[in-house]
Amino acid sequence: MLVEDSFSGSAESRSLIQQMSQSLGLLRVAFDSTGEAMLIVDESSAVRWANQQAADLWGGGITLQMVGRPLSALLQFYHLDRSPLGDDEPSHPLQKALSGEGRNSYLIQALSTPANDLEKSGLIRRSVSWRLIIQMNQSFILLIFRDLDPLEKALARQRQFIDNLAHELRTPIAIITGNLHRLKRKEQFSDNIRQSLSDATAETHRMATLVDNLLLLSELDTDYRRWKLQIDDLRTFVDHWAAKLSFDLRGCLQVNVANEAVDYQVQVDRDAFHLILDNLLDNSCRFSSSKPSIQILLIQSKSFIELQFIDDGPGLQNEEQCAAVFDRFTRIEDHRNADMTDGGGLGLPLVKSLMEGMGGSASCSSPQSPANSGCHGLVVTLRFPRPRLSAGVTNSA
Amino acid sequence: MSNSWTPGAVDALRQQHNLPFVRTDAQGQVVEFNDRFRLIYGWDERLVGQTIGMILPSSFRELHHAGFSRFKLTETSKLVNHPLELATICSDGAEIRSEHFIVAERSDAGGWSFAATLRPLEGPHAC
Repeated sequence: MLVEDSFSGSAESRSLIQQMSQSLGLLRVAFDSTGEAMLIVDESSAVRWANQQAADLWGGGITLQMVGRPLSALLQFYHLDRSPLGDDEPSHPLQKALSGEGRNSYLIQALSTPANDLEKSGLIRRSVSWRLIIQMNQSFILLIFRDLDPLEKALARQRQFIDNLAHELRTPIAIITGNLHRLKRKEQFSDNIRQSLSDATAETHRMATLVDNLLLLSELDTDYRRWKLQIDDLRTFVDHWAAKLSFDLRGCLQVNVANEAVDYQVQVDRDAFHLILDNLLDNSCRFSSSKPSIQILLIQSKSFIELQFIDDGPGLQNEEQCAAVFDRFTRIEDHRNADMTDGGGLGLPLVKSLMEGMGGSASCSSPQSPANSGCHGLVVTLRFPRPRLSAGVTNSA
Repeated sequence: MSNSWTPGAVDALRQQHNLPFVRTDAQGQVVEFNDRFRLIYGWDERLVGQTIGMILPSSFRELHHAGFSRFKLTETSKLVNHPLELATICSDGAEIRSEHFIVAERSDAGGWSFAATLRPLEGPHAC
């Protein structure tokens, strides 16, 4: 408008304005023709812009009537398990957008639909992507709502199948485990049979762990896991975990803090954090020829807190292996140990998925030994974003 | 919800003397308004020739301009011919929540004309 005012009177300017106006109209037609609903919200979470698809779903068909209204007054996000998602919860798209681009699936309910329109007031599933936009020193969040394509629907069905399968396998595995324990208590078996029973017990235990991990991964993949995020010092979380360990395992562990004076506040789900460290410890024990020596090092930076889990095992040979260990069912051939039950190949992938689910990341490296004679130990780096205090998380202190 | 334009619609609105009335040309520039509009929203003759976006909150203007331009391309709109609750800006910058009823009409010469009655929903003139 300022442009229109200051340039009024000039034929050239009028022509330019008309051209811009036509471009706006063309853009509007294009945005309204897409199958995706789009919204732009401002810093106060009020709608600044909407396309026709968004208005048809949540604005009674009129884009103009969505402008200025809080997003939370127009639609409600739900987790895929149909539990409502609070505006301040870290997994809410507007909260996630503050830390970067991303995409996730949600169930969405229109709130502005008249109560008598039952068909429209139901939950719809959409893949929602978010992106932070800075325009003329103001920040906005672009939300794009997409219906699942056939491939994604097939993937969702496949994940549901894994979920069902894992649940079905748990009962027979528990029965086999119980029977094996009962048989082992009998005294009439020869040593050979006892060895076979021990092997079968170990294999069954491995299978049970595999099923548990598969189920957890499936929950993470389909966003069915309910996070219980707490804010506390990372040292406290590590201490809680270490207190659960056996005396022997605690003896292998050394916790070092780069700077005792600073705070190491993180926002994590304690159960998930324990699972992560359990898996890392299991991994270190599995690949160490003797009792492992493990150092946990905490490092603080401006935007994140880092936990380095350092063992003295064989480590990895190159960057490719460092990336491959986070792939599901991948086992590094050099590390296969005939004396030990093989791992399921899901431990480190689970660590990665759990870290990503909490907004962090996991990576690993193997420092070269001073004589450059090969690798020495494995360093798994867990990076936690610094917490933002909000109503969706509890302070565990 | 109608998205069509109606012959004679602009004049039908103009006859509703008890309601503020404003009309624009095909470019969205104000051509005329009535005394009720002047009284309630405080605008004077200087509004004539200005964009109608002046009476909308700034956050609405992008969608307004884009929607106006789209109408010229597609000749359809979901805004016309039904009541629409919008904030309206007065000449002193104050906002009055109002019910807009917008109509579009094509003249014999082929040019578009847009008009609206505005029913103030708050303030001393609320009706």
